[in-house]
Amino acid sequence: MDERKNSTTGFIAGLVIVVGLAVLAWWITKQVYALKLPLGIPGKALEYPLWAALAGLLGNVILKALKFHAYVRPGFRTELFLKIGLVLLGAGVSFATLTSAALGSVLQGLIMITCVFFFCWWLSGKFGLDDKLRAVMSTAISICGVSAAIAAAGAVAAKKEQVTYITSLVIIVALPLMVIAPLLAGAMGLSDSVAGAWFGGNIDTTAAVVGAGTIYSTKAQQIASIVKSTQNALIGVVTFFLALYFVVVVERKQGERPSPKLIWERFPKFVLGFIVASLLFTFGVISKEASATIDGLKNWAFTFAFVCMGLELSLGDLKQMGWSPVAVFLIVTVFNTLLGLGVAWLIFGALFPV
Amino acid sequence: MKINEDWLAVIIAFVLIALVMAGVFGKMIPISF
Repeated sequence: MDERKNSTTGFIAGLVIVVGLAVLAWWITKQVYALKLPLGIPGKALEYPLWAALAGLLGNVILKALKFHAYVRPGFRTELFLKIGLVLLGAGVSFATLTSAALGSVLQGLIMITCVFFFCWWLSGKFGLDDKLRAVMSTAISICGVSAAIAAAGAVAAKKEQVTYITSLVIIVALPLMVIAPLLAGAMGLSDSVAGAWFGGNIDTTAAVVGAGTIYSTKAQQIASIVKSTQNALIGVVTFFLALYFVVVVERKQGERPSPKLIWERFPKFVLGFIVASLLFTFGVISKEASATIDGLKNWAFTFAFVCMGLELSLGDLKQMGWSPVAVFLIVTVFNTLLGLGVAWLIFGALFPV
Repeated sequence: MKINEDWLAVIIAFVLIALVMAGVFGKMIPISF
């Protein structure tokens, strides 16, 4: 009973900390917008996700120093805030954009997930990594980082530290990519849709994809989110086959029989919310004025998610597991980036320009 | 009872959308970012 009470007060205290840090991030964002940065970078390029993650990291260091981190951790709900933000994002995306990008994004998602997953699986095998770690890492890089890592870990019954390890790597790599990818896209003169498709297919976490898109342009943010949502929708398929492979080949003794029900259970339901919100906006149920206000709420939800990501980052777990998974992760990320650029250019630049 | 996080996110998001459409957010409580 005491434990439950502790977890409830920890949840509330954690939530209060997240809100406080989000307000701090919002305030910093407002200050930076007005600045002119070195190398001619406008202050606006350093959008709110960066400051939110840094505010989270600051909170992380302070809470750990005060030995208070584990107690308030139940309030750090990264995925929940992210999913709320994604449904709200739907209320600003016209269905016309969704359908025009859908064919290209499904095609891109299939190519990227297949190539990146099997390249990562093969390379991590060469480095002698544990099969469960291979499965979680391959899914995390090929699909969408945190939620894919969690879904894959469920499918193969991976250890908790393996999920934390991959999640930490995903966050560490996604944060610089979020800033560097839009700068590179700008230097290469990519169109909004090609840049958006590149971010969506390449950057590992959904929040960082949205962040990179936000930094580039409104259209890039929309295309990046659609490509990423399509890719996320394939989590169910990949986890189904992973579960099947682990049940049938790797751990035949464990009795889970994968079924179509498993796909439905692991299908990211917030995608349905995104589509319904998008339909309401397309058919005018949600007015343009309301949509602009919802956009503000969406930014707050993503700010909360990024604060939580910073708060949950753990460098200690990374040290425990050695360096070879880091090497594999970085090599596959480079492969993912180059392949993603080529595929985005081919599909969104040449075959199905949006 | 354990509530699925995906559905929880969808419910919260639509409650927020309803509050915007009812004028609670935007008109009564300004949201600027």
